[in-house]
Amino acid sequence: MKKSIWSKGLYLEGLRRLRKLMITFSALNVAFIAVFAVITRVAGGNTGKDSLYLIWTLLIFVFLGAPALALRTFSFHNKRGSSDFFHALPYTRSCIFLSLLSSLIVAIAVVVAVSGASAFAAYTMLRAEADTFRKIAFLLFCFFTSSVFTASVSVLAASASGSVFTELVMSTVMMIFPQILIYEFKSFILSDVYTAERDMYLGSGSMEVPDFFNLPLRMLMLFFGGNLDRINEPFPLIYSAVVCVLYLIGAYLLFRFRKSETAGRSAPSLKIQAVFRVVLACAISFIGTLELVRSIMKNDRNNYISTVIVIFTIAVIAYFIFELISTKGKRNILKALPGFAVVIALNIAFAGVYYGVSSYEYSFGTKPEQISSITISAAVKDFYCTRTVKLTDTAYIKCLTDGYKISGEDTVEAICRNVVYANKYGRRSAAGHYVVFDIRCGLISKTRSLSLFSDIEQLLKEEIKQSDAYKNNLRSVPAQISKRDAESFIGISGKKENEKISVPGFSAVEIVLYELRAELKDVDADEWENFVKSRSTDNGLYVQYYSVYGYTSIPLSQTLTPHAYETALKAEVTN
Amino acid sequence: MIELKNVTKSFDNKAVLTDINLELKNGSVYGIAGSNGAGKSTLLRLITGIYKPDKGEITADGEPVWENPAVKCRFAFVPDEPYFASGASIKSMAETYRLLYPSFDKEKCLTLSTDSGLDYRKAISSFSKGMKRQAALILALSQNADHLFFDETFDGLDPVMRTRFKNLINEEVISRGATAVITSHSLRELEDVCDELVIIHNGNIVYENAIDIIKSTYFKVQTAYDGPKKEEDFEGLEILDKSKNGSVFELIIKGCRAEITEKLRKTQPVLLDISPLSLEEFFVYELKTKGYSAEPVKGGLR
Repeated sequence: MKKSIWSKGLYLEGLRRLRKLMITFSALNVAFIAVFAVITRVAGGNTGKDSLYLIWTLLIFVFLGAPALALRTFSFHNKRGSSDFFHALPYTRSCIFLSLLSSLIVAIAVVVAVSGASAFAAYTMLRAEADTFRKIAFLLFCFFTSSVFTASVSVLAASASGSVFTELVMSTVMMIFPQILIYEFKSFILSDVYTAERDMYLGSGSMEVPDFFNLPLRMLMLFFGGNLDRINEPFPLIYSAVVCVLYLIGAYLLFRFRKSETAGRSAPSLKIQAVFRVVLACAISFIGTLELVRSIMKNDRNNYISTVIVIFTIAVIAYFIFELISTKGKRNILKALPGFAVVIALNIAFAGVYYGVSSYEYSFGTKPEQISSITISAAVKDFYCTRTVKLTDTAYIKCLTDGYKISGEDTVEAICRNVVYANKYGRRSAAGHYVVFDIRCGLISKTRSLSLFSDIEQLLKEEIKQSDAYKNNLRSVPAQISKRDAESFIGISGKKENEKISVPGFSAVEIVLYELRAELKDVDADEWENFVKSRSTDNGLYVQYYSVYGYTSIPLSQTLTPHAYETALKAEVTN
Repeated sequence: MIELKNVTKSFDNKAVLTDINLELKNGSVYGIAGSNGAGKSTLLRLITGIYKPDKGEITADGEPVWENPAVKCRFAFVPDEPYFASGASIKSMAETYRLLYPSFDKEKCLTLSTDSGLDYRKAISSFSKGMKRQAALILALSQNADHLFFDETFDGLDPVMRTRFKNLINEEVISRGATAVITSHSLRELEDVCDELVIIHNGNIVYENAIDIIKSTYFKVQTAYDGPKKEEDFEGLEILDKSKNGSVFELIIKGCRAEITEKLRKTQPVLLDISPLSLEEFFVYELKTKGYSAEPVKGGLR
């Protein structure tokens, strides 16, 4: 019998061990989907036919089913008899791990596939749109990845431990703790440091959905937040896949070098048992430490102190209760007492890290020569259009400032001056305008943002006004990218909804844009800018279409762009 | 042949087996006896490649056992807590074994089950303790392994089944030249089936030899005399242990039975009874010499 890294026999045995759970979870999902489909059909008629909620019952599988399958697969570590059986088998440790892991992944795939097939059948019955089926297919992929992720966390816990209780506790800690910590750490700094950008510390995230990069937690947040469409963001998927692989590599190494005589024990050694209880206590107490350091730095102790006390108390209780339950020995509580010093030391170190990072961010300053580029945030729409053109002006302004780099020395210096000042005094401009600037310090690149204070704002206005790039942008008109007639129209703002819009379609708007481009070449940039800024929301003719900047609306002037104006007016009259 | 060279194993920095050297020859049945916690089960788990030795080397026919599927597929091990999948029957366990052990004989398993009166399709969890052990034995014997290891497997069997399975093991050893290693606390059981005896105490092998040698060279002697006797009267006899119960001397003597009888007759005893030492008596004697005795501690239990 040769050494091999995979065995069909072990793989099939793995599937046999998972058979009952696989059937149970598949049946539950199918039942849920069927019941919800019937309810949707009966209660909502056509209104709920494209709702993605039907398939979200798989979330239960992600958080309960997949970990249960993983723990079942490697549960033989939890009893000496079963551990002896598996370790006496004529296969190498690598072969046992990889064969059982493959059966686990296949079992997850089977449950997701069965649930997916029933979802497709349900949506077919509900006569959902083709787009819904595409979304479901992608969601199923996300569910599968999420399930493998949660399973990998449990496989790692099962490889490190030999008791169900410890496996469950460690799975939960590994699943949630890093994400909560990153979120807390980041949100504290973002809320306190005024020039901080949201992409600091492990990428960006939206305000609606906390920065949970692991896909299962993100899916959970999206589910409860009602932002199902945002699941297509690629970063959480990539992050989760990478972390999942790292967890599995860790699990493999632990499995490979695990001593089989530790079967049934909470941890393979006293040191690892200590690591478990310290990790658990730190997972809880770090959040309290963050709150404590923040309250000290902000000199606002009253608001936080009760929270801090509660969190630390929970951490202490968790530390000792975990030891009591996992080792089933009252004496071990006393033995674990000195180890709590490690928890305290780690908390002090963590407090130091947070203090250091936030102090650095508070006192963050930069020199003009370090600034490689400054761009105006797309959100500064009001800066250009004091009297905004409703509906679509953002896209047009985005077009005007797209790729625009600020380089005026006075402006750069003013920004540098204000960065420290803004952090120190927490100063923000009332209108919420800001500029984003990139700093290059050697090989490191940073991005920060700064509220537009009046002095910088004035300088920016002057600089932008003089810029050829801005003038060129101002006089260029972005092309239509959607040929759907419904998305291209000419409107007159200020009239009632049913009177003001004509829908001549792509071709007619294309002709208007052709005229507009030709005329803008000879129009003075300042005049055109003034027209755009001062344009009344009432009785203004505008053309709207879909460009690379999204829905773009450009006003038409009877005096500056008469041909385009006439063409648009005729198009409206014709239609 | 299975060979252990300088094998040491510790748990949590506490030595369980120290510097073990042992040779298990093919075609023999070995009995391993020892005090509680002596390291018998650990020794079997080391030999079968379940545990990795901290030091030393374990080989089977020259090949290392640890992480070696080619060697381990020739092993069958029945632990003191046999493993059966939840809700499994002998049939479904046989299916599992068939997937995992290339030489597993499903027909043999069915035959042995039927002959033992075990329901092939019934859940093993509903079996009695003894029946579970039978099931584990049947599965192990159906592996057609070259080396069979049983960890206190016979302790839960009734005398009939014990005899039956001992016979089956002997058949395996005789017909296929297999090696069988049995650990047990019951020396009486080992005496019936084993060729060789290994005694372990405190993680060390304190005795290793053929059982026939024990029976032919170690004797228990009961003798009584009219008058007092001096040490010189027993010169030439290798007396290993001596105790006096009333006027009757109880001696353990090593040597040739005829010579022992002749020399003791010369001392003119009024009573002389010579019998081979049973394994149990030998075990008690051996461990007594190592400070492990059944005698009450002085000052205790007054």
